This record gives sequence, structure tokens and C-alpha cells, in this order.
Amino acid sequence: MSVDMKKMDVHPPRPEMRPSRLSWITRIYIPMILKGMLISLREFMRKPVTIQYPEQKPKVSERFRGEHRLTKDAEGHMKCVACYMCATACPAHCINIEAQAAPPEWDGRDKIPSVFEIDMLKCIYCGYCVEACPKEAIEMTNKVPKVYQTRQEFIYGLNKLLNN
Amino acid sequence: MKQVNLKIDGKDVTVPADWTVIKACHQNDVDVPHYCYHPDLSIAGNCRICMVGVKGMPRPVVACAQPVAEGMEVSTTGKDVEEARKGVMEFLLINHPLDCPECDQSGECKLQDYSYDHGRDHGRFHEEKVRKSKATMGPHVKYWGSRCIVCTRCVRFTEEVSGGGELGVIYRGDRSEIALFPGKNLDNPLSMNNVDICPVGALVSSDFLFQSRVWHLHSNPSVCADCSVGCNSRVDLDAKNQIKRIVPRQNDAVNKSWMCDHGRLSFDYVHENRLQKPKVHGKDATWKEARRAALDLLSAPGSVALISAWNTNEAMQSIKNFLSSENPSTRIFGYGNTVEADLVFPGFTISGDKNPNCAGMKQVLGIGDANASLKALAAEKDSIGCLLLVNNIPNFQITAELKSILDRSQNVVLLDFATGDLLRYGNVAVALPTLTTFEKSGSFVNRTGLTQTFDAVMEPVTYGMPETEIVAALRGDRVAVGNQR
Repeated sequence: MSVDMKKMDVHPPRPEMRPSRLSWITRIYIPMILKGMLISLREFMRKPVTIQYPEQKPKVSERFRGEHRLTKDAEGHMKCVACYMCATACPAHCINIEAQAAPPEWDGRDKIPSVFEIDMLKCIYCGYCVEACPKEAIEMTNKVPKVYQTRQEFIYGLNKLLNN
Repeated sequence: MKQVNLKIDGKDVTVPADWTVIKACHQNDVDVPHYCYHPDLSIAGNCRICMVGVKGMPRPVVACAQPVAEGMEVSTTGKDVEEARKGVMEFLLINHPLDCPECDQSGECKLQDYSYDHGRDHGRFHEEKVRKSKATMGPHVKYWGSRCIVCTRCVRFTEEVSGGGELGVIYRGDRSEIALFPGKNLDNPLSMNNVDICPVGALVSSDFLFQSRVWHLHSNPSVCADCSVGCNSRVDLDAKNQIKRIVPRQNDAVNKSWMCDHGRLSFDYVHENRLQKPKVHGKDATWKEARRAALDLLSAPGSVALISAWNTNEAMQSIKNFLSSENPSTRIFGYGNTVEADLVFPGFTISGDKNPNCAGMKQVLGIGDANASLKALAAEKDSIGCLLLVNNIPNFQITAELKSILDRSQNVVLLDFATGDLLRYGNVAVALPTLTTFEKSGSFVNRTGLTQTFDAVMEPVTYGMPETEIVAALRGDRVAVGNQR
């Protein structure tokens, strides 16, 4: 399909987008270079603020939203009832749940997840899953998200989340 | 029937004199909450949520048990009515376990809906809740006693529609619950209707149990193909294009609100053992190659077309038109599943004719009895040049008659969606993949002569095409489409 260029609406650049005229002192560059080198020199003397991630881990606040954890009740059973509330609330669609019937010896429990996966690459760590959970079965630790070699390793399964 | 005039929320309406107030309201798009009322069951009047105000009455009345009268003035809103509903909701939730996260009904639960609309935002009940039994009622139905509100819809269903009377109410007061009569089991072919009519999560389907949350499903209307009744159905699919369940749609002219268990559960064949691509002499081929091979074979003299009663009117007509123009000497015969006796219940009949479109076959192809037609062909002894076999019957097993026909045909061109017995049986030269009734649109004529159209409810799971498109491809109209799919 050909496009008729004459009919296309071409706008002139807006006035604020045009480069303003520089003063002569800026145009000779040397004072500005000196100024920049002074800043570099000052920062060179200071203690660095960066850390060697992932070998070094940053210190984070108690309320930091890091990797997820699935909690357990007093008997050591997972609290999750596979209600899909977290998966429903998740804006990144990173939670995949499949449900199954709970073992008969778990008193008062009907449904547990057989698959519970969080794709840590898709997750935006917003904490909506924690907010949506009616059983306080999912919470966020202050563990900083880890780094792996393959995509598959970023998908955390049931075991990993329960022991996180 | 004599008509009466009444006012509902200030709107003048005219309804037949034998209607109840709730029916008059629902027919005039005025919503009245209800649990125990069901349009196709008798009136129980025990849930008390359908309270409406009637001018001249000292207190709200239950709309489901109140007959309409001339000059009646009904109000479905107002302080009295709202207070009554709020009270009813609070009592219903006293012993309810509120296990919505685990409950399959949540998302389509009337308790949730009406609690949101009419209930209070917190409970005032601090005492211990009554815990009731959990049971397996039958092969397809499970029972969670604590969730039950004892509306007795299921009890009335088993008495009035399925007729077995398996269910009853035991104990009194807040301990009352639904139970099976001793020695009985809810195993009739209509048992899963109890799951549908249960307004809460007390009766749940063991086939859908924990499969999905209902808000993750999307629904499309369809027509059941499993017998000649042609129940109107709703197919629920998940995001992965998998059918999760089939439930009835109300149509008073066909199936009221009911559907048999067989029709609900027979959808596995959509996802299993499908013929993915065209095959020529047992090898995968492109549509272009398969078309050429099929056209060569179909022009043979002494050809016969054998069309099953599972095909849509459109498929039958298009094949008939194609054959009359390409090879007019081809004779057309029909066949189908064997016809058994009808299963008759007090409120529902399951047809013994397990073909959806025998009546359509009579209208389109002029074949009155599909299996008699097959017998007539089987009785002949002449060799058949090419047999065009349009099957589309799920889980089809070759009968002795069909076997004899297959044996004396030199070539078989098969149109089917499954890799079943027919494909494995020796002399299928060309097999063209079709689609199941869930994946294509068309129409069936049910046994009362009602033509019902339906649309595809899902994306095709194979590279198959509906028969109408296959015929178009054979004619050369749309070869390129099939080639790439």
C-alpha cells in the first residue's frame, strides 16, 4: 500500500523544542569542562554508594517488598487454599495456580494448590497478591530478587516458595 | 387466560391471572431476589428473601407465593422490604461457613450477590457455627452441608423432574440439611441439574470440582448435539481454549432449564485424538495435495456418499450440491448411532435417538431413517467406486454393516475430526479433518422439527475446516486458505 505523502499531516517543530542560542562562554567549552572535572574529582574522594550486586546484597528496610513466601499453619501445612485471589489480583499475570483436593487427614481443609508458580521475571513486586489473600498465605520477604542463568530458574514453584 | 392489571414499582403491567407476583416482576424486568423459587419447579416459599410490599397488606409478602390480583400495587423497594431482606440475609449467613475462597460456587453464588445487594457489611453472630456433614451424593454430585441454606430446590427437582425422589430434608431448625434416603444414590441421568439449581455451593459437580474459578471462564451459547432433543447449552471455556463445563440455557420450547449428564460431560473428544492435518494414504499432506487426491477419487464411477446424522444441515446441503455438480451419478445414503428407547422422566425426556440431526437429514437429503438407509446400502453387493464418508460422530465404532460397505469400496474419502477406528481401518485413501460441533457454526433440526442454529464457541484446536469450507476448497474456491493452515 502506498502512502500519499502530500496528504500526510506534517507539523513544524514546537517552539520549545528548538535549541536555544548558547552564550559565548558556554560555546568555548573550557570553563564547563573544568567544572565537570571538579565534580568528578570530588566524587572520586568520597566513599562509593554503589554495591557489588549480586555478590553483595543491599540493606533493605523491614517493609521492603522482596521475593514471596507461602506461609504454613501451626501443623506445618501450607495455608494456601488455591482460591486464585492472588492470581486474579496480579496486574502482571505472573501467578499460575492449579488446584487439587486436600489430603483427607488435613482437618477442615478442602482445596490446596497442586501447582503454584510465580514468574519472578514478570512480577513487579507490587504486593497486590499479599493484599488479596484471604488466608494470609502469601507474604513478601525482604529478600532481594536473585539472579539466575536461565528463565526457567526464575519461575518459583511450590517448594521453593514454601521454604523461601 | 384472564388478564389482570397491576402496578409494579409504579409501572402499569398486564399479566395472566394465574401468575405469581415474582413471575410478573421478572417478566417485566424488575429484579426480585430469590433462592427457593425456580420458574420450572413448584413453589416452596421457604427462603423468604423475595419479600415485596403490597399496598393494603400490613407487612411485606413473599412474591413467589403471592398470586397477582386486579389493581394490586407492588413495590420491590422501600424501607420495610429492604429491612426484611437484610434480616433474611443475616439469618441465612449465621451458620454459613463463609469458605468462599475454597467454594466452587463463588463468583456465581446467590448468597454472595444478595449479601452484597441486601445484606449487612459485618456479622453480629459470635457463637459457634453449626458444622454439617459432607457427602458424596452420586457419581457426579458432591454435597457440602454447611453451605446449604435448605431452599429444597434439589429435593423438589428429584421429586418433580427426575422423579427418583432420592433427596430429602433431615433434622430440624438450624441443624436441618439435605440427605439421601437410605439405600438411594443420586445417580440418575439428570443428577447434575441439582448442581445448577443449587443457589449456593452446597451441591457441586465432582467433574468441575476445583477445575477453575468461574470468573476465569468465558461462556458462549451452543446447542447440545448428543441426542435429538437439542438442549440449548452454554459452554464455559478457560483462557487456554479448553472446555471446562457445559450447562443448560433456559428454553421453554426445548429443554426448559434442564440438560442430561451425558450431554454435559461429553466434550473430551474435542481435546483428544483429533485428526490434526489432512492425510493422503496415511501420510500427512497439505490441503492442496489432499484436495487434488480427493477430487481424483470422487470422480470415479459408481461412487457413494455416506453421511452421518451428526452433520449440520449446511454440511449436508453443501455436500449434496457439490456431488450433484461434480459427479451426478453419486448416490447418497445416511447412517447414525443406533436408536434406543427414550428415557422418560416426569419433567424431562432424554431421546433414545443419539443423533442430533435425523430430522434435518430427512429435510435436506430426504432420508427418513438413517440406519435403514445404511442397511439398504449394506444389502447391495456391487463394488463401490469411491465412498465419501462424512462421519463426525464422536467415539464412533464401526458396525458390521459399515464394515461390509468399507470392504467393498475401492477407495474411501473420509471427513472426520477424530483419529478413530475409521481412520485406522485399511482403505481410507484421503482423510480430511473437520471440526466438532463446538468449533463450527450450523444448524440442527431437533425431533420436534425445530431448527436451531448455533455458532462456534471456541477456536478450532486442529487445522480442520467445517464441511462447507471443505466443499468450497474442493470446488477450488478457497484452496489457498486450507493450504497454509
